[in-house]
Amino acid sequence: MNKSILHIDDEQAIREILGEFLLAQGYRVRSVATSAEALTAAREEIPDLIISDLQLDEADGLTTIARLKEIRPSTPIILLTGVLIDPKVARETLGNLVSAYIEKTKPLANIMAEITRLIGQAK
Amino acid sequence: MLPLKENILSRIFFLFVGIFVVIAGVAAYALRTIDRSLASSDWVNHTYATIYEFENIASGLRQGDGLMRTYALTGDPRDLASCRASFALLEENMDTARALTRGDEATYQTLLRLITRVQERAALARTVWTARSANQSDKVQTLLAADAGSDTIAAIERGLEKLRDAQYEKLSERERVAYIQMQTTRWVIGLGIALNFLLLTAVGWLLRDDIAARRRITAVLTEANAQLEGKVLSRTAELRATNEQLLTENLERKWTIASQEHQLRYNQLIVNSVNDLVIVLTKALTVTRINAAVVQLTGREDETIITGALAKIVEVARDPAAGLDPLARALFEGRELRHHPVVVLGQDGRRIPGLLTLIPLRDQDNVVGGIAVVQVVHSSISKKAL
Repeated sequence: MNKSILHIDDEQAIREILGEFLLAQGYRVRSVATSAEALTAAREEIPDLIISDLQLDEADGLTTIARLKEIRPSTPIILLTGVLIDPKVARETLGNLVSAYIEKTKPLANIMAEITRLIGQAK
Repeated sequence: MLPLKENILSRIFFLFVGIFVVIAGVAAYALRTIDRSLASSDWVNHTYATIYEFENIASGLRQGDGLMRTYALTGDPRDLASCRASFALLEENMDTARALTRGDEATYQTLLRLITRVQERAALARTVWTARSANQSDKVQTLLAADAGSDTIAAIERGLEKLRDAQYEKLSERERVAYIQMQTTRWVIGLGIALNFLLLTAVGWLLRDDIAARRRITAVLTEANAQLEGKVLSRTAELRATNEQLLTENLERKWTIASQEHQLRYNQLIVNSVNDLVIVLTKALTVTRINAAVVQLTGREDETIITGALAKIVEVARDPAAGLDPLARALFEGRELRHHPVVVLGQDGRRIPGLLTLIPLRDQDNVVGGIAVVQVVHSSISKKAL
């Protein structure tokens, strides 16, 4: 079975584009908009990777990531955000929570490279 | 299965026609030879029958003459009966011989002459046995003494032998002809078989050639098909790769647009969150962008401010001796202007004092405009500043 990715973002356009891209790469994708949905999805099925936004409508992304980490401690998490943070600062402050930090302004190819580095190809 | 080529089909057809013609010719010739053989056989039987009758005549004449002389000596009626029977049989033999030689005029005429002489001998015999039956011994002796006897019979026998030899010669000639005919028939049949074998060989060669050509065509078609399949697969893979690339590029474009819009909204949110007035200017001090604080403080709508002159909403304190607007001068010189006293003009006529900081906006090394940040100050500060 192909590897699965849980994607959390409150913006529908972002969810749709990244979901379509990951599906084209062969991954199974479950896209959710809220922190509650993300926690439910993570309990239902163990994802191979979690990609989460920093700013969610009803909750802080970092809080959500922390709770996901409690549920699925071995699952790598990518923080994908439009809030620009210095990469060095991000590594130092978020290193214990997320496996990678990527700005949304980066091309999809960069995101794909990071996914491949963390969990390999889709099959 | 590929159909036979038209030219090969017509060649095979003509070859089979040739085979049929040869077989028909050989069969016709064989039938003709059989008919000839049958006719020859009849002729041979006829000839042997003729020869047989010639010999019967000769032997019958000799026997009848002997019996006639025996009866003349003995006068025994049994000898007379035998003599009469012998000459009667001789007569039958001559009739048969005449009938058998009627088709051969020369033989027939010669035979008639011989038969005449035989009949003369038969007449003599009748005269002798009549005289003997009447006990006329003198007459019998006279008749026998006058008869040339064996010379005449020998002459008739030679004549018959000549006729018989002629018939044998004809038989020999016929056998020779039959032998030649048989040999010719053998040759014709042999040649027919050989010719048919050659024609069948030609048919086989044509078929073999056609099969070889078909195999070559099949091999070429198979190879071409394989190449075509390879090209199709290659082309399909190329198209798939191109399609995937286009899909990826399209998604990348969408992603870029979405992320930039997100970033723009985020930046706008930050700028609008600032309480100070943020005004983006061209070098001619025309307003191009403002934050929410400007609208809120001046009470003017965006469209009445943007593309208008800065002077409509901000009055800049200037040194009359200097002449040029200090903001325009700072932008011209490409330097910052900090905390310059200004008055913000509300739509309702209010005059709100503030301090303006101008930061030149650079595109590469050229100053293309500036960002003015106006901080509202308390009345005491403004009075002091102004």
